[in-house]
Amino acid sequence: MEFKKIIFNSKTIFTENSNPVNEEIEILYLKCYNGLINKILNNNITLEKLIPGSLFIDGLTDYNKFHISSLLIDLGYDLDIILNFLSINIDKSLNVLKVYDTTNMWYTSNIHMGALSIISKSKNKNSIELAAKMIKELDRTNFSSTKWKYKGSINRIAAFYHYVPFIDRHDIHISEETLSMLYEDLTYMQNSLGSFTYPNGFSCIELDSVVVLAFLKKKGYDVSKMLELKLFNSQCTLKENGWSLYSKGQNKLRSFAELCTNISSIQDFLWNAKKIFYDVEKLQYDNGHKGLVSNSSDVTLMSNYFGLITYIQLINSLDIDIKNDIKKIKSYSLAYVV
Amino acid sequence: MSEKVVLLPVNNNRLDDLKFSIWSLSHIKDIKICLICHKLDLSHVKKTLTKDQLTKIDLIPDFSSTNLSELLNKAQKKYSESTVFYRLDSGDIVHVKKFEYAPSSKKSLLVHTSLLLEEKCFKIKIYKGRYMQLFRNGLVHSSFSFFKVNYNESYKLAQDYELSLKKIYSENLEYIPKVLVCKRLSKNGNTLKNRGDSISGSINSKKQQLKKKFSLILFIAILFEKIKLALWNLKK
Repeated sequence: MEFKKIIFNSKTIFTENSNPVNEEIEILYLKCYNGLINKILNNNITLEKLIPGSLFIDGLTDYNKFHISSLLIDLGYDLDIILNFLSINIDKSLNVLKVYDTTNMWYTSNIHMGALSIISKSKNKNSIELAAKMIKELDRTNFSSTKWKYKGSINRIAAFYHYVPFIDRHDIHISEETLSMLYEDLTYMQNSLGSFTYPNGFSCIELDSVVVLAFLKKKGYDVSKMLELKLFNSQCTLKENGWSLYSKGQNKLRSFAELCTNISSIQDFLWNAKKIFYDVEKLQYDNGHKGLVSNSSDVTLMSNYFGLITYIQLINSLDIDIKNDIKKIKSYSLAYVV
Repeated sequence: MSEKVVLLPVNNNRLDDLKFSIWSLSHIKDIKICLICHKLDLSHVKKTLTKDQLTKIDLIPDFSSTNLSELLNKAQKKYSESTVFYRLDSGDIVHVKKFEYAPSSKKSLLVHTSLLLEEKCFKIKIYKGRYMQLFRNGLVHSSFSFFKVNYNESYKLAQDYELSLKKIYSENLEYIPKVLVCKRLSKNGNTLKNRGDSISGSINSKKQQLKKKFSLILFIAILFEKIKLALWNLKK
């Protein structure tokens, strides 16, 4: 398959009534996703053109700073340039690992992922040890959120996924209890179409689930059937211009009927039901940025980026040798392939 | 071990979708792809596929006939008696385990559950037994696998339905309740484009079975389909 032709075949960027994206933070996100897709597709990218020499936005939240830092690291920037650009340092990274909120582990883990990529890239032994200690703390609570609203399988898988690159790279021990809980989560989450959310997948959660599955496979769990079904799903949902944010599923009533026969927690049930009946109809905002808007069925730079890595992870963990124009990139975070 | 050959007819309307099928098949080892150019010039196919893909395609017969049943029969003759054939269409996506299944005997037709990608949603097609099959087709021909069969060349469309009905009535149908193929329905595909002809083909298949042995349910099914055809013609 010539993904270069597919991905750049037609418009795959975010649009807001076809208006150009104009906020600087949003432009940066677009450049990052575009640069990473080009890297995966073996196209040369000129890093100098992607980010300006100094920080341009005041008042960026930790979430934004660390989230973007992980994208910039994967793009191949030197750590010093990234830290300078985002006005952060190693101490700040260590601080977010020491003091954190466990209310919503998905949210916190996004920040942690950035901090962990910085620490991994820095290769500082003490920092790596401290990070490993924090992960062991989280292992005791199975990476679960403490607030009722955020408990459940989907939140736990999405949270754990953000730690996988660091855990896998530094070979950190994860308890059997957590591993079997994650295995049960994924077994419950996968539907008859092969995706992990209703109606038929949500690009972010699909990537999270596939990476965690690959990690479980490495730890000896028999997840091949689940990976094969997801590979089938990934192929079925590829469109003329790539993978969309949400793929078409069965009709709403059938999706809901299937969901009703497969309830593991009330939070996951409500989350999926909302997706089936409400979210697929409304506009989607990537990371809450008003300029990064798309219809749920649109193919965006982010959904294609996630779709590509999901596919690479699938063929990698199923040991399928296939000739195509995509490649694994050296990643510390979102593009990490187990 | 039997050779596994994918019979994949492609016509001009579905040429663009071919890349999806070839991509999907490239994930699987030890299968041969037999591309059957149906009302299509060979050079167009060559332009669509990459050099690497073309080297993996075992055979591209360039037959002059426009009758698909005839082409499917001719293509099968190129292979040995022990070959297992898998019927696919342009645009179909296969599960990596699909080719691990084969019919148990030379007379059998092996079928499985399929996924249909329609314009608005996915549908799961499940075979619900002989009687239900008479009223609602639960089989997708992209799920068929068989040793050499003889397609009825008097059928220009619905030749696979005719084949399946014959196998159902001779009790040679084997069913696997697993989704192993996804069929992308295209507006340009034969199924939707020639709906009326497909219904007529389905009526003729049933009539053939009725001639062999009278059955009330078969008779009712034919009446039912005739009403469906009349309504379709009215709508047109």
